[in-house]
Amino acid sequence: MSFTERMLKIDRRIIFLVIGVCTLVPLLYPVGLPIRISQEVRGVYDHIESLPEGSPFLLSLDFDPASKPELHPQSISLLRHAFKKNLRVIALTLWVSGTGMADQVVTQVAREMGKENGKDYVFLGWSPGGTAVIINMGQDLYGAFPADYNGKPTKGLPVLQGINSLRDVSYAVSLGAGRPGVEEWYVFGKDKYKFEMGGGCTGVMAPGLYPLLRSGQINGLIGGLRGAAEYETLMDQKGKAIAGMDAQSATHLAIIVLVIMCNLFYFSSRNRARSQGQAGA
Amino acid sequence: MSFELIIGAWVATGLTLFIFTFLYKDNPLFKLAENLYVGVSVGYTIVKTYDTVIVHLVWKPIVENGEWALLIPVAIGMLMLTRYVPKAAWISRYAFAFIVGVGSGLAIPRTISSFILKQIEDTVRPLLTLIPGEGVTFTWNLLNPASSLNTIIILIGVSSVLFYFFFSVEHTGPGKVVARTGIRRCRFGPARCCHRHRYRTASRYRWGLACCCSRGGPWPCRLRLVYAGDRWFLG
Repeated sequence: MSFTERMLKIDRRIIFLVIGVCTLVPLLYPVGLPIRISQEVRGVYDHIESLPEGSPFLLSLDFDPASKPELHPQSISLLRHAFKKNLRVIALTLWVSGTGMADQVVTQVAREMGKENGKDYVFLGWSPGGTAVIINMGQDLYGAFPADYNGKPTKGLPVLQGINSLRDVSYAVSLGAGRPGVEEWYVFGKDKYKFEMGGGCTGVMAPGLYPLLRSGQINGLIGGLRGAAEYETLMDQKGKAIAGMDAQSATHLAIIVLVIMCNLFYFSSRNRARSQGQAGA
Repeated sequence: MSFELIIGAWVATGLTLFIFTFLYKDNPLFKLAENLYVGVSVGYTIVKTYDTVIVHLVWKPIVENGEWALLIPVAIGMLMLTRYVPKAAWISRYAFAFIVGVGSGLAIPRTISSFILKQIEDTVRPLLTLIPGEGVTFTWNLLNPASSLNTIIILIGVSSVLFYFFFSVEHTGPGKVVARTGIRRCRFGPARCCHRHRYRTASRYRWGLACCCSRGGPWPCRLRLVYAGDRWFLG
């Protein structure tokens, strides 16, 4: 068996090992690759930056632990930005499996920024219905969420003062890992109740949301770990996303090298087989 | 750091490593982690749903606040359970009819507005722009999505793709040219195609890099640039 044939039949576990090493080494020894800010991410950042103090900001954390590596850093950056701007944060989730995680991230960032539950922010938790919850919130926020995650009645909370429905929200961002997510928030929320909206999603979902972005239906999009790293750069706060970008870039590079190598080996073995066939004839 | 946090971190790390052991080969540690993962997520969802829906949205409002009107949606929901009794299964159709009716009524107008009208609005742009002082102009900048050149590309792309999927007319003669332009235009959007088809048909679009990677298997056999007939494929 020639070298090229041996390489074409290489044990897949060696490739897993290469990917594992390419992930671990940059995490242990970060390179600090430069991160260019895209217009999509800047759209969300600039809009939050332009909001006056005390504006109601709705953050829907529509993901579960499976998408945590990409969407958790996005939620941390957005919450830090909103709290830094002294916005009134209304957080919720449409994914039942992500409720505990969403509560954890909101509470953690609020504590870090010195914010008070009920006064500066509220976590409404989860309510069944998916898109029906969005419509319900558009009609009556207190009907959709009579109590917050901790069981405290939402009516009378200082953070919700003057907010009766989605129409009263200044800006909403949905961090979605599927359905319900960004598209549902646009279709049943923004399109119906007319509030400004941005989105965040996993890297694989981003191309599907570009038509909404290009047509101005959403004013910004944070796509995957890369988007989170850009937001962290804008916030000037290095977090898990920037750390993860080196590892992601290294694994992408490894995949590209492997693709090129296996193409070379494939053509080499094919040419050899052809020449042997011609010699045999 | 609290003791619970340290124990939690060790459990999480251990279970993650158990999952990764599958990359070597199937083994009992992987099965343990896999079953735990499924069990915990289903258990969490059931408990959370029971607490939120049954306790907080149904039981407490009815018993504590006397909101008897809530019995109507509860009754409609209960009708669905008649599916499990063959003789009474027909009753569940009332519940399904109600849900399908309400769902369609809410979703259809909103979907048409968001995904058809708004997208058409963005696709149909003027070919020429009237700039005060400069008159009618044609912009060539490819990097500007709103430029006149991009408008023409979008016009050709959308028309030809729509024609490709119009099967009532045989694709021969000039129609063949338009249809081939359409399918070539489709191939410009492989990422979107992959996403839309949840990676399953990625190989059909000859761009299944992520799909092939996630499937595992001997990579050199799966990832290669192939010349087939008149075009190159990465598949």
